[in-house]
Amino acid sequence: MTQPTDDCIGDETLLRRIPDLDRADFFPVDHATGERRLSSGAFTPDHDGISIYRELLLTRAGLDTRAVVRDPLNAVAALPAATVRSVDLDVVPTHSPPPRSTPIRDWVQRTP
Amino acid sequence: MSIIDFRPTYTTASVTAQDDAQPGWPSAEMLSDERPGLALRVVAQESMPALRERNLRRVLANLERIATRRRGWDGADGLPLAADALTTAARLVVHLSREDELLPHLVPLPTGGVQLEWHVAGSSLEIEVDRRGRPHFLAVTANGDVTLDHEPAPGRIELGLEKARRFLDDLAVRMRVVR
Repeated sequence: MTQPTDDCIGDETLLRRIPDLDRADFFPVDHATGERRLSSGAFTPDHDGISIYRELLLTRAGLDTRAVVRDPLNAVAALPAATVRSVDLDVVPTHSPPPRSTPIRDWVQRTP
Repeated sequence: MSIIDFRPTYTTASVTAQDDAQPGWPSAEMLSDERPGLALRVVAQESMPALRERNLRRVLANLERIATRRRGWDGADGLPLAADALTTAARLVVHLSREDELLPHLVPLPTGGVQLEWHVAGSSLEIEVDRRGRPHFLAVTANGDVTLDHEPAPGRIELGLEKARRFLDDLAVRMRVVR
C-alpha cells in the first residue's frame, strides 16, 4: 500500500462537498426501490477537474468532515482514492487552492 | 389543444440562443419555440393524453425552477442555467415525456448545464446537457453494462432520442416487475 504524504496521495479517503441537500437536486430517487442515490452530476468537472479534500489532512489539522461544508445543509461524499484510479482517472495534489476555498490548503484535484 | 407557457426567469446576462442554432430536432407534435425572447412555449395537442400532459407540466415546472438559479447557487461558483442548455433540456423533456410515472429527475450542473436522470432498480439513463446545449446520452444497466454512450453530431438528435425511448421502455417494464 502506498503511504500517503502531502505530495503523494495513497489509498486514502477523498471528500467532496455536495450542495443543496435541502432541495434534493443531487439525490434522485430510484423509481422502483424508492432509494435516493447521489447523482453523477455532483461530480461534474470544471475546466481544471474536480475539487476534493483529503480526509487525512483534515484529521492532521484536528478537523473532520464538517470543515468541508459551507452551509449546514451541504452533504459530504466520501470515496477511496483507489476507486477514482480504478476508472482511469487520477488524483493529484496541488498547492494552489481555488478562490474562496476553505483554509484547508491541500486540496486535491481530479484530472480527466 | 392547450398551451403550457414555459417562461423561466433567466438570470443569464445575455440570451442569444436561437432555434436555428440547434437544427436537426424532429418535428415535435407539440413543441414550438418562440424565441427570440425568454419564453419557450409547449403546445399540447388535443391528442396528448391528459396524464402525459400533466407529467410534462410537472417536469417543465421543475426545469423552470432550476432556471431561476443565480451564479453561486451551489455555494461555490456554480453558473446559472445557460439558455442553450435550457432549450435542449426542454426539448428532451417534451420528446421523452411519458404517461407512466417514469419522470426525469433534473440535476443542475455548476457548469451551466443540466442533467436528466432516470433510475430504476440500479439501471440508469442519464442525459447530460452542457451549457452549449449539447446532449450526451448514457445508459447503464444494473449489472454495469453500458448500453448507450452517445453524443449526437450536430443536427442528428433522432438516434439518441430513439435509443433513449427504448431504454426508458425497458426501465418501465423493470419498474413494474420490481414493484
